[in-house]
Amino acid sequence: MTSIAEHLDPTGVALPTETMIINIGPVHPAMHGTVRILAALDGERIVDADVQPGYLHRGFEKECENVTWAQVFPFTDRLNYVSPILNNVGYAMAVEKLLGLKVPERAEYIRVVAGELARVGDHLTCLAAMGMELGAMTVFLYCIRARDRIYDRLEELTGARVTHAYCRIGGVKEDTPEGWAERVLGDFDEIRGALDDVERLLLKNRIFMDRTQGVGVVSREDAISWGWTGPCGRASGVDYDVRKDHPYGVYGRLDFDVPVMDTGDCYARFYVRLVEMHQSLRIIDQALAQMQPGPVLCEEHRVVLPPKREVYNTIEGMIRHFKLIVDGIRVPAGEAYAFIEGGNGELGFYVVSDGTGLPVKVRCRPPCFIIISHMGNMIRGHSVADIVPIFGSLNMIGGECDR
Amino acid sequence: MSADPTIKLTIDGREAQVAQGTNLIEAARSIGVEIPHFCYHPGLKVVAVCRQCLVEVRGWPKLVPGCQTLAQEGMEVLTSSERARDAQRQQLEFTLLNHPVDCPICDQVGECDLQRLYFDYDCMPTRHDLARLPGIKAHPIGPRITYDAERCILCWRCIRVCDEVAREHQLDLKERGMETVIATAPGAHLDNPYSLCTVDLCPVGALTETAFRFDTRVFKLTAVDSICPGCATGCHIELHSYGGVIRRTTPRYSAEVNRWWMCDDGRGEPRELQGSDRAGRGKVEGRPVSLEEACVAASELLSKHKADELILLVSAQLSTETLWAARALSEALGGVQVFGTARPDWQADGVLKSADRNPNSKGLELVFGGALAGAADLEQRLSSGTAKVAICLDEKTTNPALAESVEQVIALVHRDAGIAEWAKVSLPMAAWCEMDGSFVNKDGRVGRFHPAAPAPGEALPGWALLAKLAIGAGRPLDIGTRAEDIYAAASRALGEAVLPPGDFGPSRPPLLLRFANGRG
Repeated sequence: MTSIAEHLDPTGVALPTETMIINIGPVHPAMHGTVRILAALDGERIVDADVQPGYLHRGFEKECENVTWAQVFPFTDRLNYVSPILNNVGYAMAVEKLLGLKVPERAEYIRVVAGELARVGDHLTCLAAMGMELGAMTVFLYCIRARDRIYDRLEELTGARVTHAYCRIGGVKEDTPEGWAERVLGDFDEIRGALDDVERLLLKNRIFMDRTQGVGVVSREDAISWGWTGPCGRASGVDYDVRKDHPYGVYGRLDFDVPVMDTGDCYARFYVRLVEMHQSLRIIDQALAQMQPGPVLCEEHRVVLPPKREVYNTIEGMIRHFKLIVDGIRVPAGEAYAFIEGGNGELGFYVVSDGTGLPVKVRCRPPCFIIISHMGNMIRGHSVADIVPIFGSLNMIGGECDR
Repeated sequence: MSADPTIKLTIDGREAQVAQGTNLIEAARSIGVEIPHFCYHPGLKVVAVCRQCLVEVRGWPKLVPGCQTLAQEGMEVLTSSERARDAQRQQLEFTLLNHPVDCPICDQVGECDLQRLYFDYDCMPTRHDLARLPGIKAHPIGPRITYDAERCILCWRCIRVCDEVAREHQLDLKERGMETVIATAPGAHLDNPYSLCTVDLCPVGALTETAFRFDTRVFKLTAVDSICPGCATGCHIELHSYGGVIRRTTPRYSAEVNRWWMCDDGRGEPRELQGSDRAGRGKVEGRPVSLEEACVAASELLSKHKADELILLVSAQLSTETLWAARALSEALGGVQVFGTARPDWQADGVLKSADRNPNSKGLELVFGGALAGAADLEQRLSSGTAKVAICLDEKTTNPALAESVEQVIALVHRDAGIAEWAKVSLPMAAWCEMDGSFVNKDGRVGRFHPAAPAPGEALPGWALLAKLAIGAGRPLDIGTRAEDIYAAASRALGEAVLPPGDFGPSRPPLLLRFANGRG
């Protein structure tokens, strides 16, 4: 990578052809709020770019060292805040691995259903923003309207529209409300309708194709060497999906396909996400059909909070509650890594415990930070206008990237 | 425990070597195995009433209490076999039968043995839905202690503390069976000088310190190691603070000094210091000024007078480091005469309280040796009229004659009242619980204390103020800028046999009780 200073160097050329440095972001609408790109321009062409994330850094990992294991969940919500349930699940799985806990089957199914809903919401958001930034406002409205149905269902399930904190170590907070499964299935028509509309509006649209095809191409080799996973990796021909390759939860029992493309451009990344949403709906369909009634939290008294009826009326329940809240769940000393397919790829949590109620370390492998690391190389040589589809198709989520 | 291990036994399959006469709880503890117990305490006689420490011994027909059973050669103890675990669990179930759902309003929460043992050894929901027996609540069993009979699990620890530590039989059991309560004799109170040790040892929230009741949740407290300044015994204590305020004082185990105990008077020491009249700013002729300004005024006074016109008053209440700085100052100013003062004696009680009410009399003696003049010399010097300026380091012990006989007084004070009101210059001084330092107790044992609360306003440790004065007077002291440096300097000068360099010890960071392994 050549340095920006090199381009700035006045080499004695008399004509005004020197490169110009401009700031894009961090408060530019197309930068999704929090990324700054320091670009050296030669006319419209980007000769060099320095992508600087970090404006949404909250110190997630440090925060986790000062709270109990259970109190980490709200922090994980704020990682990838368009699919918080997936973060919840990833973190819960890491701690459960350390505890050697078996999560009840129904909880696993609920995690799958809620997680796939969150994934659809995540992808819808990405497509909506990408479409809008390229001028397709209608696409934005259609996608967000469909996403709102998902938020409604997640609100019914968890009590919150965005930051759910729904998972618990050992299961999920509570069972699905009455008639919830039917309402989820009832939303499929609208979601599928929106997806079909988007497909018809954009996939054969000359302007959209010109703006995205052959733009921001990442080869399979580059994708692998930069550690790309998820939809972006699969758009470049990396056939890797954690749900398929390392099935966790009950994914082994569900039938779905993993779309892979090999052009590696913005169009492929858009298309892979579109197809994946159809697959997610397929998964939800099957999971809701297979789900059986049963407990949604495991029976381990030293991990799971007692029911409130016991807490308020018996000393045993009261003590359990107090010890679990004040001391925290005592997780055996050791370390564990659990990883799931997040909205943007392999979302991993590496946790270390010293046997007390406080985590020693909670490290998150954020897929989009790894994807964004390559972005400077991707936009080099393109025109300024191409930053928009390239950045949009990577779906950088500040909360997760900067933590 | 004797240093001569003579008995070999196995506990949970692991070999342990212990001295003759060691019980199973201690034997297990020596290899890191916990046997749950309520009534047993290493400092008290064994009564084996709580039945919580039942363990299995292979080949013995019945389970035995670990507290009362002594280790024997070749014994095979199982502390967590099916039978032992069952007995421990059932015992907890019985103990909890009538326990009130009080945790949200109980002061013991966080350091409650019942909570901890239930969670670790039982943790099963209740199996009955009968009404719980009511009991006496919030009963002032003594002037400093509140008793709650519902929470009491009848371990008799409080009875034994009174009998064996305070040597006064003030508590006993009243009634029988389910109605048994801890009680004093009619008309009597739990008011012995060590009564608060019963609160320390109470495994539940049955006995609580009235002054600390509903003050702070225990798991929010931060503990620092300290030394009690109440008398020359120098009990090892812990100061527990929250929000920058010291909330309570508890004894800290020290095999040589105070074991597990301390007197009730000592616990009031930090409380005595609190109050709105703590000095946080300097004063010149009664007018509040910044510390800097007050130091300049004081230094000017010092540089204007010759050494024989100055006197320095130190006391056995000060830390060794402040005393060392005082000695350095007296030398730097050209040999100022130093007078030692002290709080008057009280009655020693043969348990922990010493007659000498000063924590650092030994330190004073070590630092100044024969150069120190006493109270009688002070009288003489004051009446001679040769003392023009006095530097006074302890308002508590100051001779009232000072005001009339000396022209100007530079006072290092804790409070704005008293000497600070008439002194020419007063400088705010941090108290022992707000600074790092050490006392030397009557046996010559160095005790290190740590800051438990921030000093008010601009207040600084005595040695830091003296160092500032010396700099202002153009005679800087070569003593270092931290308490450990000063201690090291004193130790080098006085001899390592007198002040062993290692005894100051490493700095211990404050400990949040919440995650301190079941302590908070």
